[in-house]
Amino acid sequence: MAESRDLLSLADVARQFPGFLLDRVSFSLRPGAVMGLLGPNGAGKTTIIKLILNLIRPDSGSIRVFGLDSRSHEITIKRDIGYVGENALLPPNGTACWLGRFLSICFPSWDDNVYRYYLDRFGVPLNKPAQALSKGTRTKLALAAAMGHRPRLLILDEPTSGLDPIVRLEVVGAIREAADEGGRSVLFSTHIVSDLEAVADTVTVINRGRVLVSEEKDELLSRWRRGESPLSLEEVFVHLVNSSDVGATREAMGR
Amino acid sequence: MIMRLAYEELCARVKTIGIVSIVVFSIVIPSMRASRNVYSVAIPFIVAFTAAIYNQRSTYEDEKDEALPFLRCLPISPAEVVCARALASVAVTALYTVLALIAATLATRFILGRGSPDWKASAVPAFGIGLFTMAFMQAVYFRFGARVIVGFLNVAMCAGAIAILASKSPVLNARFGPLASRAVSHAAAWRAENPATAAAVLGAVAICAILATWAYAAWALGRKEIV
Repeated sequence: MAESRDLLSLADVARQFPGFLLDRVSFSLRPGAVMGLLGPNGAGKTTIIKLILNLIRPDSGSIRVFGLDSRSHEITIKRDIGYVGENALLPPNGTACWLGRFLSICFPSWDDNVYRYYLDRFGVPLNKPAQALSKGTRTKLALAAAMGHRPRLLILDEPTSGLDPIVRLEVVGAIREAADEGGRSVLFSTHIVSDLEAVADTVTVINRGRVLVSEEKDELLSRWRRGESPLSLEEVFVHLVNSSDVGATREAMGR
Repeated sequence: MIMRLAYEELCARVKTIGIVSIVVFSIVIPSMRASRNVYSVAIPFIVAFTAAIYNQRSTYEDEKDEALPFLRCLPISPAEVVCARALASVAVTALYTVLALIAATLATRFILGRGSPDWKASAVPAFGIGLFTMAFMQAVYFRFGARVIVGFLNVAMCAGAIAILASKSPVLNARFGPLASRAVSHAAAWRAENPATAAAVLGAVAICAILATWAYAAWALGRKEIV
């Protein structure tokens, strides 16, 4: 019963590539929560997101989104998902105006007012092709496009990577606002821990294809202390990743 | 949705369509010394060749623009994407067929002064072969990617060149020439005796081949992983 209430749940999801194994990943995201998916480069964050979006298939395990199987209900699920990738997948010649018109056909719940609100707020030019925009502006356009159909689940794959601090703050602020609006859930993958400090409710840390921890951020921080003062999320993250590497090295050496 | 996707596909390929249209004329015009009957055979191959060139360029652009990952992140099924591509390919093939026939007509009527090529005998086979080429190359693209299309086209052109050289070889002609011409004349005789049946059989085979290839393309796109 608990599983069916989760907006997103992964159970023992595994996928092998040459030189990389995503090893029985399990975690769940409750409605209205912002989950930070933390991990160093190459940990498997993008692989997990591609599995959720059914862009790649798992070797084993199950993925349920809105209580539905992600493979057999792919189209229904995607109608309620907003996705922003690291490289903001946008047609290079497509303008913000064109994108709005195109997406309004793809998403039955498309709301042009919401889209225009985010475009105005971010100052995205309406008639400039995506290839002529800066990386930051492309990310903002992708975020506006992802919000335009009022998705129940927002999936963000390193949206702040490679952005300057000003734009990063702007994007993170918009994500927080989006999460607060109508109990929307957010899965926010990043390796920039500071972006998550103010936004995340729960944190899932992965390294080398394995989930190291997946729990409420406050609970996690309360368990990690240096003397009386709690560690920051960044310190906890570094500690978790380093200790998992030591474990993996020992395992590989047969100790 | 499918109509809109097809429209967007055509809009995105306007430049490619224009450039490849020039190829149609540049192939047809130099070959204008051919007789009226040769045009009936040549035009389908010219359309197939231009369809292949168009696909080579359009799939390369498609891959460069990451069009498939973009579409796969949206609530659009692979079948819808393939149907849209099939619709767009019908429009493009029709355009190339008409262009090839216009070029051939201009060449024969105004430059050689020999009247017009046989439109009826050229148009339908040219359109059919063009459609099949489009379907085949899109299926290859969905299954293996744009780079394989380039390799495939190179191999096909080499094979074509070898076939032309082989057809000029006296040794091969002495050995297989009579056999081939007998087979061709048998087929032509059967076609002349049963024109309706021949048209129905050829049409059915062509439609089945085109539909089966697009079905395979949909299957290949459905299984394609965006890694």
